[in-house]
Amino acid sequence: MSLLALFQWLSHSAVGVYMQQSQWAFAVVETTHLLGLAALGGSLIVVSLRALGLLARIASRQLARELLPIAILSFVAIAVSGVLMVSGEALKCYYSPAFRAKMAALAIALIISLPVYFEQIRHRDERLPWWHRVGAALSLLSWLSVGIAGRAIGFL
Amino acid sequence: MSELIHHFCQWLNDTAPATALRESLWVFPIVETIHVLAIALLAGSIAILDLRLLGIILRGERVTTVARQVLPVVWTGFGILTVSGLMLFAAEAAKSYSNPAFRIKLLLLVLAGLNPLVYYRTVYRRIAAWDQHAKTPLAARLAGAASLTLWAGIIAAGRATAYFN
Repeated sequence: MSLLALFQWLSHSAVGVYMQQSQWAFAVVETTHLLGLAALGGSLIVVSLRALGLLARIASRQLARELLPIAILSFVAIAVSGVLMVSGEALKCYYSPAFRAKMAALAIALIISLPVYFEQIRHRDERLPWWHRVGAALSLLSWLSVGIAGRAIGFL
Repeated sequence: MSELIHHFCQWLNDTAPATALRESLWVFPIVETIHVLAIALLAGSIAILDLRLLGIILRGERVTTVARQVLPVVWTGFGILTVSGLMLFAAEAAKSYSNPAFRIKLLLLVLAGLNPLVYYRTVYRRIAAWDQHAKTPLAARLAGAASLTLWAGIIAAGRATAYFN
């Protein structure tokens, strides 16, 4: 199945039709997406700043481990609401350069941030190696680009 | 009073900088993007303290330690949100005045500001007694729950503002 066919199928699925016809569904799902952004972004910022050695109040691995459930739950909320939003305007997304940029940025962000995050939980020393700190900074930047490209979907 | 506020909004709306921002091709969407993404700095990091007050995460850490860990991030977010928010408001002041979602957002913001004032003047005065406890006093848990609810409401009302504009 081609990518276009996948988006067309999503658009014609029961969920897609519901998202297009319901008066409130899109607004509710979009708000959920934003709340997830706040929770995921906040936990990643706090954990990454700690990896960079800033705000060193709580042990680095302890902080990363305790905030992991927030990051996972909020990512699930973002992913589910994101798929619902795409099903509501599948073809607009398929042809949107901002949406494509966002998906590319998302892939990069996941590839960078997952190993960086789990290494932070595993690492016992308080001061992380230089490459880990570079990874934490890149992780933040990659998530920032996901957010910027995401906001741009509504403008372009 | 409401007439005065209405006139002020119309005046602000028509000032040269507000007009320039409203009519700009790029600056308005950039400021709006900054405003949306800075939500993560404020609401996302204060949620960590709220969840500690509720005894859900970081139960082994002192409440004051968690506060020192996240409050600099919270205040950074607050600064960015205030500046970008005032800019967005100025650009759309006339529309915002009569926007029901925006009025609800302002009301929730006032409540979100009062919540820590009450917290610091009441249960926080005895923090030495419960700083290390996983289970905090009821008043502290109520403050955490109120903060989570209010900031979620502010985000929802802020998003709804664009639907009513």
